[in-house]
Amino acid sequence: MTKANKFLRSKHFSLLVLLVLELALFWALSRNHSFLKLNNIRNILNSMVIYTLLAVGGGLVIVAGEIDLSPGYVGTAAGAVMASLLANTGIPWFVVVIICLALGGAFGLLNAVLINELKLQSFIATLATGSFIAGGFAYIVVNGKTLEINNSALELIGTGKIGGFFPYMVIISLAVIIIYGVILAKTKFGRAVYLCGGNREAARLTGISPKAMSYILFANSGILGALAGILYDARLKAGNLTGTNHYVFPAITAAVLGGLSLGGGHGDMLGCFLGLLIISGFNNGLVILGVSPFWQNVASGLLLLLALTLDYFTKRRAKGGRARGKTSTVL
Amino acid sequence: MEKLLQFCNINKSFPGVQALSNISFSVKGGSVTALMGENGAGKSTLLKILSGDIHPDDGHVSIDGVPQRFESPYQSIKASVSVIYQERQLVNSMDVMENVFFEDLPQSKLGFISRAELRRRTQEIIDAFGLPIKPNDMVGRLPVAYQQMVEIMKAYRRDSDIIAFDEPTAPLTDKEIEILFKLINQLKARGKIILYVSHRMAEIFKISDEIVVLKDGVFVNSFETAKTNESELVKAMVGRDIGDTYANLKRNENIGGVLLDVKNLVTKDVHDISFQLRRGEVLGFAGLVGAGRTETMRAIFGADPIISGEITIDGKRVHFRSPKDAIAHGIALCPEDRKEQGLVLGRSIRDNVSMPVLSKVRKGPFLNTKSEEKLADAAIKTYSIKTPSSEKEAGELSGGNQQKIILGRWTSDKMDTKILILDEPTKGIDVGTKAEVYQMVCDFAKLGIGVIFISSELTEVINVSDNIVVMQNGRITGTIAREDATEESVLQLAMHN
Amino acid sequence: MRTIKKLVSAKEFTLFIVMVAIFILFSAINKNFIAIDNVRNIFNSAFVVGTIAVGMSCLLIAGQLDLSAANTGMMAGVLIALMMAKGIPWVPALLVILVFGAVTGLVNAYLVNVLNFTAFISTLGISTVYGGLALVFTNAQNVSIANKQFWQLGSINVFGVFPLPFFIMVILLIAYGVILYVSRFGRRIYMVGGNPNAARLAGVNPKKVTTILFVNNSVISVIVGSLLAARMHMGSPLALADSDLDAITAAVLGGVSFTGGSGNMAGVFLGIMLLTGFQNGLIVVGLDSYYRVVAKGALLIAALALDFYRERSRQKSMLSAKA
Repeated sequence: MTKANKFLRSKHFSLLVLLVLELALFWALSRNHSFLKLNNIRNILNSMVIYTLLAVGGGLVIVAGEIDLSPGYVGTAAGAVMASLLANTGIPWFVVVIICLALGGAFGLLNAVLINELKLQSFIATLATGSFIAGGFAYIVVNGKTLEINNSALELIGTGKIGGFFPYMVIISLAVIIIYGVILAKTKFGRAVYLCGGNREAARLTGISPKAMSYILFANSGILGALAGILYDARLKAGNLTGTNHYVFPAITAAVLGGLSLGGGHGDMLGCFLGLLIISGFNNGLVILGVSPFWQNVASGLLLLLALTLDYFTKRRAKGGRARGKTSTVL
Repeated sequence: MEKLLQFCNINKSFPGVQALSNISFSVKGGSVTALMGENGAGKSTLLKILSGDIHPDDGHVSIDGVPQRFESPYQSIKASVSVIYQERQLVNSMDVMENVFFEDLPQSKLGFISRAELRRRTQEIIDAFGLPIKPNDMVGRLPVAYQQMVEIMKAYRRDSDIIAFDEPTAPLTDKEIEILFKLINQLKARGKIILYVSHRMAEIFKISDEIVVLKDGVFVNSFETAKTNESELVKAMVGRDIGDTYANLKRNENIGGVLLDVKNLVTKDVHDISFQLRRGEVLGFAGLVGAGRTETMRAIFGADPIISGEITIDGKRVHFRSPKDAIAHGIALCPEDRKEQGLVLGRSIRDNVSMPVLSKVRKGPFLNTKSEEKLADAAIKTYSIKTPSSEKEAGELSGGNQQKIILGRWTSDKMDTKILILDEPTKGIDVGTKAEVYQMVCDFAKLGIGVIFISSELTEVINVSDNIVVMQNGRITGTIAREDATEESVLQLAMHN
Repeated sequence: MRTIKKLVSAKEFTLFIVMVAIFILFSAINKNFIAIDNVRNIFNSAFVVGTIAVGMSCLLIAGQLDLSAANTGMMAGVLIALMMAKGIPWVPALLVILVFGAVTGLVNAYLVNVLNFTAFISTLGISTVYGGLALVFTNAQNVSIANKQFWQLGSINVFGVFPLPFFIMVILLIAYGVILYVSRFGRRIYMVGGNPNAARLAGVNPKKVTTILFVNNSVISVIVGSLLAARMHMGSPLALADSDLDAITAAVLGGVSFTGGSGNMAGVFLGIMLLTGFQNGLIVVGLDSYYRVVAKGALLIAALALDFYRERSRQKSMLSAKA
């Protein structure tokens, strides 16, 4: 099989086709073809920032065969703590940021303890730590109010643009996805994530420690969640109650759309990025066309189901009539 | 009318393997027919076809002369067929009576399950078996032997005309085996058709009337139990060429000093295990399934916790907390269950080969794909793995080729393997490849590697190993040198009490 | 004696003791906790999560789950309000809603059983679609319901104390408790969750069982959504938010195993009462509402941890008994 041939059969290719079709459609339909103007492309990338961070952290956990539902809530908590510390203490902003990232890591470690030591399912454990504990923690910290953030450095990070055009936040999110993409594809650690996700016991029997891996990945997901929350609040110039809470499921959706299969062992950051682009592009396109923003939710749900269905049929064709699938397990 | 079960021209293939080819034979009611053959001969596949679990590519099963087409296990049960599987099919979180009456819980007219009747009828069956368990005991909390008996009760309760047993005695003690045989004789007297799969010769001669031998998915012959003997059966199971295979092995002639010394090892599964492995020695581990061989090796490899005991490598006392430590000391384990524990099926051959040496194929912080490929290509060449490239997913290869990937993983030139543990390396692979594996084992020994060779196939473990350790019930029951080993002597140790 | 011992060692017993202890504690701090009005409050707030927990528990026992339950119920409330606004009488509207529920369940079952999607992600997809559609249909506004007869569904009290929705929850809990315990179908749910392969080989069709349960769960969800709409006198695109996650929490709290095969409705009932009673108690004793969320998570983790230690000590005692 030649390289070109292989590419044509790859997940990336089908994602690219989907993306190109989508772009062409919105380009054709949008007034003055504004959809593909530089301005709008920037807008799309800007709307992806939070999702990207959550999808990268959560996506790595998915590749390793687990799931993390908490990073969005952790982000809200981290943002709330940041706002509160900045408002009530004189701690310099970068120390505050580090504290908040550490807090995110701590939440991640809590998840890892529950999953590895108490053997809880990652779904239920991260649900509990995330939506209840981190979520509630955020409420308590800001006391149910929205706290304004007055900090020029954070404001610059949140809203500043290179050359007055390209937001710093987009640079940060792109840097994150590229760095993690390289780690996943090129390093020993990244390979070990795939091997653990593909077959945990086999990986253990070749000297890889799935447990250590799990701790690192959950801590990492917490840290990236915290980063998402920090950036979100920096852009908003305020810490509030719900923050990044509802960004988790769409982020996971984008990751799965991009080929990170639940159950582990498959997918990469390029696919994940394409998944994010497809969903964000679609939502943006609907806005440009003046479609009610409410349709966006409908569309992203349908996109997810469509992607899964396409996946099913490709796999079935590849396996000669038998799809690789799981019945009766929750994850 | 006497009942009759016929297998008619049954063919079944799995990716890369012809599991059954053109199997035809018939089984009469009122007799016990034993199904024999080596691992991978196709016995279990045949039973799965009988139970409607899988469908033959060609051919059919017919009962009393009527061809049957079982689309699902449900239809097979309706046609009065019960299969008792080797892997117990029980729900651990439910009690004995519900497991026994699984799909046919007695109902009152209102559609309620009548527990009183359920308990009464289950108690009747338990009494017929003469076991000290209660109908409302939770199955998951019973000892394994009793769980197996519950599985048998399930089939007994159905009162099917055709009952097939797949290695029913593996987890049983003599007492339960006696009970089982008494029951089988009762069923026989009532004219049932009984198929009995087992590896245990003594059992076969005790319980069966007819013996059907399969080999590599082909029907070899059928024998009347009373008119045959062990050696005739072994010959039929093993085939003619097997003697030559072993005679032609190029063995390692110079065995060195002690490499691995295990003293009084105790884990939750095994007791008081002591043995020595020398440089260049092939040390066989024989025993029945569940004798504790795999558990012993996993403990030595650091995969399961050790309760007490000493392990010494090259005279140095070692204690491994994880497989990682063991690998660093030059131990390699090829697990019995390739798919569950050996390979990452969704990854390429290359990724599977480089798994334990990822730290050694790096260029700076990154993995060096080129040197990984080199390793994989070397493995493909050395073991003649049939694949277009090292990029192919491990899951797409046949069992024999998968086994070779694992061998390639542990013997690559980046590895410094001193002790190679092979757990059932020939399980589920064809005869030709088996012969190759035997030679590979001897070649490893020639390199000075100490090889531990676990196998449940007596002939191969006796003929390939230099010395044979026999285990039973979590303990070592004896060690025999190849020259002194016979199937009888090893079997004696494997089954003695 | 044996029965008493068995009762005391049951998971539900521990849960019951915990619940009683918590209730006594709250009553000691504030007598209003056990005042009839507050008890009614607890009942009223238990209804949404509790009723959804009934269908969800059946799915969990069978080894599946449905994250679309909340939005399916929400959608039902919105649709029934919209239909009534268009002048359709409430009875046929309710029938349409029931059909909508059944179809949703079939779609979920199809995605899981035929296309082999994991339930988690496919039901999440459906949930997202419904969440969006409801916003589109209502333009993110609440749709008020003027029919006073329909309001009754949400507010009449049975026997003067139990609000109808709570009464329905209790009836469903008892009915499904009985089904799970004494009917063949009920036992099959456990078999399918406990060992799907064993079930299949014994002639039980796991896909059929889970299909029925998905439909069942969606139908229960639309009933909840409709009753809630009746009680609130409107259909709201924000109703029921996250109540499916809460239902899972209550079920797991009540001893339903997340991996399938075990649990019962008595436990689920205790789980529901514990969760809602606990939250209500925190309000009554004057704790900030924010602490309640945290407390809910702590409660869930505590319950799961307790379960882990119980299981481990059981296995240890089994091992020592063997040796």
